[in-house]
Amino acid sequence: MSEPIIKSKKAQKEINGIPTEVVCTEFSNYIFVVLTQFGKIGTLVSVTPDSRSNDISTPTFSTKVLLGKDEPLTHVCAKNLAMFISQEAGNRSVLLGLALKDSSIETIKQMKEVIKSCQLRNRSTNSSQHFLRVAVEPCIVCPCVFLSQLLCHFVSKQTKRSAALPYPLFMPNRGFCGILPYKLSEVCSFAGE
Amino acid sequence: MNGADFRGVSVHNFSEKIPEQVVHFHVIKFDGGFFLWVGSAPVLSNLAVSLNSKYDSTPLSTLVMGDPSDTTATSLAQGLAKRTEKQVFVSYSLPMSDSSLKLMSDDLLKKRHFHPKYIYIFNNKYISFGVF
Repeated sequence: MSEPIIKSKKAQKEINGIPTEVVCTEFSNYIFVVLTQFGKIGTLVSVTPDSRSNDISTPTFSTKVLLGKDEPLTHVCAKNLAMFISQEAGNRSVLLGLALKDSSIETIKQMKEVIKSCQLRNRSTNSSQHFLRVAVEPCIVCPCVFLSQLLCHFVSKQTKRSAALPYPLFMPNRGFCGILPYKLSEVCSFAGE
Repeated sequence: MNGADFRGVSVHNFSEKIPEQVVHFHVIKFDGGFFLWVGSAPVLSNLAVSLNSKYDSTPLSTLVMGDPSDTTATSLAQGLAKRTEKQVFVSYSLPMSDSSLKLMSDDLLKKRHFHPKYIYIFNNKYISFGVF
């Protein structure tokens, strides 16, 4: 039988002694993530990236509780968990099912790791090259190709993998020199995981 | 031990050719309910939830996402909740233009393939819901 049209992945891990399950399902317009410590879907929250002009460094998200307890903590947890999912998935919206016994910050952090292990990106096709989505400000095409070559070289050396940067980087506000060393360490810790 | 005895969120994918078009199904089974997505393209365009109430013989159901004027997902969720006595989430994304396809898959889902204890979907492929 052919590959299912919907890709999904499942992971489970004990977090602070509580069995936690994650199911990630990829739709073209949504990433559906269920994070459960009760075995149920629980509270359904939709997290949508706001479309706005490109000059703002951190993307913002709107959260809406579709089903369940609409309390501030739900929004905070949902935003915290869904932001990186959305970014990794090319700014798609995230539908999040949350059924948590423990929503402490430490738990949320560990949950992010479990979600990462559940990521649906198809790595096999790009195994020789490791593409990085660099979470910096939306870039203006860099006039200096040299810089991105340098950056690739650096990343490749640090991660011992070949690297390709989808976009040349240029930080209009802060310039290269100030921001790059700092951002590079972030890039490399992400790439090296 | 390898996860089989653990709480038991499980994922099932299958597809079926209904006359011309391939219709895909994606089911996530939970403790006490399931999520069913039906569609021909991988879009999540609506989401309905339904569950039984002790005050009413008809399960309560609501659309939490999508176009409220399209009641397909809601009624499908309601039908399934009644038959399975579980909490049911349904997302239904078959193109509305093809009404015969819609009717046919509705028919297949509602009449032949769902059973109170087991959900039989399309001939031999079935998902057991008997072990909630």
